Amino acid sequence: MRKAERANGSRKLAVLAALGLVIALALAACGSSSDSTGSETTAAPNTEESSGSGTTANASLPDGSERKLSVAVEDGFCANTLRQTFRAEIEDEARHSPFVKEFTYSCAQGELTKFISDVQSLVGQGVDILVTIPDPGDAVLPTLKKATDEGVTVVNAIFPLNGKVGVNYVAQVVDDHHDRGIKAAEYFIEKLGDKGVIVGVGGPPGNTFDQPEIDAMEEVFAKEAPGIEFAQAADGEYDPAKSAQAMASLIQKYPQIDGVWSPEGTTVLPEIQQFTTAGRDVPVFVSNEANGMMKQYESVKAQNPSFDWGFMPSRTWAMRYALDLGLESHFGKPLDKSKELVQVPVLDCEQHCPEYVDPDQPDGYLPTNHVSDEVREDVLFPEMEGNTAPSTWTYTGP
Amino acid sequence: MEGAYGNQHVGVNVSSAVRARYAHFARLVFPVWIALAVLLFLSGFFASTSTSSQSLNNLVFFATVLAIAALGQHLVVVSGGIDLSVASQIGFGGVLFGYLQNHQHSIPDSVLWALLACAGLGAINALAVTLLRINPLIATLGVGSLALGAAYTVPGSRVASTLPPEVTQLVSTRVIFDFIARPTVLVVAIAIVMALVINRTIVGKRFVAVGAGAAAARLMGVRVELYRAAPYVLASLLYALCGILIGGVSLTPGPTMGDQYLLPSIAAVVVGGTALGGGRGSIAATIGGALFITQLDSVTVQLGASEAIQLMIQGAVIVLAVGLYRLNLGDLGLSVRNALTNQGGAGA
Repeated sequence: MRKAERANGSRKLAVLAALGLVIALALAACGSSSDSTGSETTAAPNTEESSGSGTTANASLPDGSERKLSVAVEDGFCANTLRQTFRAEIEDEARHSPFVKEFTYSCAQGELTKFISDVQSLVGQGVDILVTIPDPGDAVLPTLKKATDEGVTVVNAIFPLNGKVGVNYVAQVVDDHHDRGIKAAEYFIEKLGDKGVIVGVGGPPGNTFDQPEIDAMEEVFAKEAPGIEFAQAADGEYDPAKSAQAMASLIQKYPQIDGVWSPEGTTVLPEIQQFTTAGRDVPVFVSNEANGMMKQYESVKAQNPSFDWGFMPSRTWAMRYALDLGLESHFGKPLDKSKELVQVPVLDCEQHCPEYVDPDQPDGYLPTNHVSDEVREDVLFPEMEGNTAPSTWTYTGP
Repeated sequence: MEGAYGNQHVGVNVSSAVRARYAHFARLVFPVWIALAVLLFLSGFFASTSTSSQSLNNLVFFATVLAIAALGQHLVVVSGGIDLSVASQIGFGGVLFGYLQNHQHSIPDSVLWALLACAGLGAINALAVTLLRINPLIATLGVGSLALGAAYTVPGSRVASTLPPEVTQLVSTRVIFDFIARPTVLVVAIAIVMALVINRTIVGKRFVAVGAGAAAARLMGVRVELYRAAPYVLASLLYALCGILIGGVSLTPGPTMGDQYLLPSIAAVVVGGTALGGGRGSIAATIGGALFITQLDSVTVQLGASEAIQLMIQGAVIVLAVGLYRLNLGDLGLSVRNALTNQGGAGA
């Protein structure tokens, strides 16, 4: 009995100790995060001296001699380089804009409920322009409508929604996936001629990006190169390990593969590895950019003459367009429609990689970004290192 | 029959032991390997090149990684638990290894730290389950969250950073007959050691006894908490190894790279006939289960099925496998025979 009582007592002590540890860890985490969410004041940036591209705002906007607008971004998911670069681009645009006094970045971490509560909180804080990256999809439309009803200028970016202009948002800035598919097909035709088998390793199942691009590629092949067949696309979830396994399965099935369409740039090297392991020639690839692939291109090409790589810039500057459209709408000016549908070229790495590759940056870095040196140092690089950059920036004036 | 020492029972005991061993193989080991053979045979119809040696060798690597994760899960399940932190521990182990490799640490050093770090997480699982008596489902779910958070705190974990080429070479070089890669040799060695320990040592027998019936084992003087705790730590070492291998093939380890191994690691164990309640299991069958699941995934990709369909198929396979193993085929056969005999008797 005494032994049982002692055991019971030890167990209670252990539970208390574990609880204490959890509370201590939670307090430490809260302490470090609260340090980084306070306002950050910096000296006013000089647009002319900025080494970035500066603002792309419409010149017909009123005189911005008095900065008074509050701009916020609600990002549905923030845990990768692409989102970090999106944030840096729009923050750069905000900092160099003559109209913006305060910029706030908020991340929903993949949670719909957090997205909604963040938007409500930003509206409550009196934000003037809200740019959203709505990973949860159309479920956020009612929330955006409420924000619009409260007088907030809402611009949706990257993921298209099925809402109404003027009701849920004033504009959307999204990719032209059809155009991307056309350009990918044209690159394959340029490299392969009229004959070949193309396979794809795409994103998560049910995503809305891959199929329009595949449909466009098939249309172009049917018209201009009927001997090229888009055989199959497998789900790779944009994940290097999953994509490598999907590629291995496709290599198993198709004795000859002449081209691979793989939207996510960081999956290209693992996919190439599967060809090498299987003793097969590495074919032509089309994907988004990736600094790592740019660094390795020459060595892969040297060992695999059949390999070519066409990369598409990650259009991170689309976030600047979103802010520009927000400003135009806020000031009652006509919206520049050319900024609503983003089109990018396919750049042949042989010619273009030397101009973009950055050997000092990690492999997942997106070298075609337009972020200024100042914002790279303040925001992008700390985020890439896992150190959270301050979520708010405020202009303090000269 | 009289034995060598005049003992009439020796021959009978040997015969019983052989029958029991055969029954174990027939019940646990053969079904999954037969299913694998059937699947490979059918695969040849979907793609003529899919069963070529080169093609299969490519997939054997992924089956190897799943097998290592499944062996870890096997240990935990046989002891009467379950480990839902497998995915996050794989991610954490891989990310930590990648970080160290990209910061001038040697490969052995990086491997050691990844193993130790994951063993720490395994120890938390062990303490939560044995000392705090938290249900393993809940405890390992919590530790999984902890592991994912830990993975995100590794500097640069959210940015893809390619591992040095030495790691890829270590993982993909074929060392036996220029055909079998190191990871495959490693998993076979691990499986042999595990099987020998579990089946041929007192430690192994006690471990199985704890899974089969903790109360009875305790009454026999077995230290039940120790035999329940140790599998979580040992499993974590295997998960770390998985993370290192996946990093070697994906070239850019990330915190969520283990996600695709959570359900399949359990599926491989279940398809291999290991009882989810603990006690009964076969290492060879779990390996067979891993190969089966990997080839099944590959076949569904080749058929053009989406990830959603793959997940449905995996779920259906788990349910079917559990159902079939619970079905007592001997009794079923007897019932069928009796029914037929009765029908024949009635006719006569």
